[in-house]
Amino acid sequence: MNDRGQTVLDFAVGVSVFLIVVAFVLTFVPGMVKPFQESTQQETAAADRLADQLAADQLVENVSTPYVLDRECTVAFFEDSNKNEDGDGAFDGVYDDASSFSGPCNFPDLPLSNRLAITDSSLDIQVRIVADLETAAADDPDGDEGGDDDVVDTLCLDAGDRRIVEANNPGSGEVCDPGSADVVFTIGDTPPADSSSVVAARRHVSVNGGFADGSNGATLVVEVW
Amino acid sequence: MDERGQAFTLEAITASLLLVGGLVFALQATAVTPLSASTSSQHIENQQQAAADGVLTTGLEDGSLRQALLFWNDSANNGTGGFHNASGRGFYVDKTPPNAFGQSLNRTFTSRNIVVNVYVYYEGNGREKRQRMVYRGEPSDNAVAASTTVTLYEGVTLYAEDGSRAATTITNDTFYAPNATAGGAYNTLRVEVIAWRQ
Repeated sequence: MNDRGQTVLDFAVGVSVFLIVVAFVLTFVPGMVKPFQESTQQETAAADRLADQLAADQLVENVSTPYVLDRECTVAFFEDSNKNEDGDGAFDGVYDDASSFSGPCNFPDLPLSNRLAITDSSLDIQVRIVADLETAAADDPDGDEGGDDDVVDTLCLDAGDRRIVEANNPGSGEVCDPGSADVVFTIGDTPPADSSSVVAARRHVSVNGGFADGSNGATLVVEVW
Repeated sequence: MDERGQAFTLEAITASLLLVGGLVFALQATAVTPLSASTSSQHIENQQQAAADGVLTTGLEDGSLRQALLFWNDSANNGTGGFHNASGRGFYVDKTPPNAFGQSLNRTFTSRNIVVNVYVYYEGNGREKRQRMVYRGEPSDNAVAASTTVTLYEGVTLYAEDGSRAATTITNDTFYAPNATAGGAYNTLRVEVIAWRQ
């Protein structure tokens, strides 16, 4: 035994260094074991594609100016589900006091998955337009949440006053009441509350005509899970 | 000792060189730095790039980008000029510009802990030159960029600090970009936004 060139200490150090390097590489090289673990690859691609599709094509007024959204079509897109899903080619707009907006828009009046051309029914989607408006009247139209709060919230079309405000707990009796022709700028399912992963894609957009505080910049959020 | 098969020094040096070489190769092949590890996701880079594109396009559409380009105080810094309320070097280093374009940058990036540099490229004496508008430091390896072009015409006036139109017309003396064309156009500016997670 004495003639061998290997000592126990030598062996222990060598093997532990090797194992540490293997563990380090596996941890820090992303995607090395991707095919064997659950991944969000499909959701990631879908979220990015949908956000581009909405912000640069389906909701815009003029495709040569992407990210500038058409006001009427944006409202029609987020409209209460049963109004613009009948496929008759006409839009049922509440904008301007339930008057006459009937399109055209760059998306068909079909359910959300058909509008977005999603054929995989295992994907759940939510689309929202969010912003933090600056004045108290626009940020907190009900006056019960402390005015201008610097919190980003979903936007809402207040159809009665023809303006866009923050939604702030929409419901009956509030300024933003989806039951009485107001439109909350959210459509789709509600994201899961547990720890499963939701992929979000964001686009900076402006809405034609602006919001109640005079600004027009908002964020379009597409969540896929 | 002579019968042992280990050449201590030579083996140790060879082994450590191999090990360090392997580590260096692995680190070069992937983006692993203390500041950028969390941004090495291609998805996040795509989102930042698209957001920067959106800020520029909407700014161009509603006029706030043009206002930010002309938000110039020609008498600042002892006459060398600078953006309104900027640092002593004429550009913003610790904040976004105090105008509508800056607010848009702020809402989209700064409020989400993403920092941006904004550069304005213009033609001067036949070469492309650069004026910084916002400079928050050297971007990381995972930074993304988006750009757009704006043409300014002769006779355009600067904007005052409060966002109103000032009386000063842009000339070689009052503006950072010189009059580069003989015709009615003044200069073509290319605005570049570089965004990265700090």
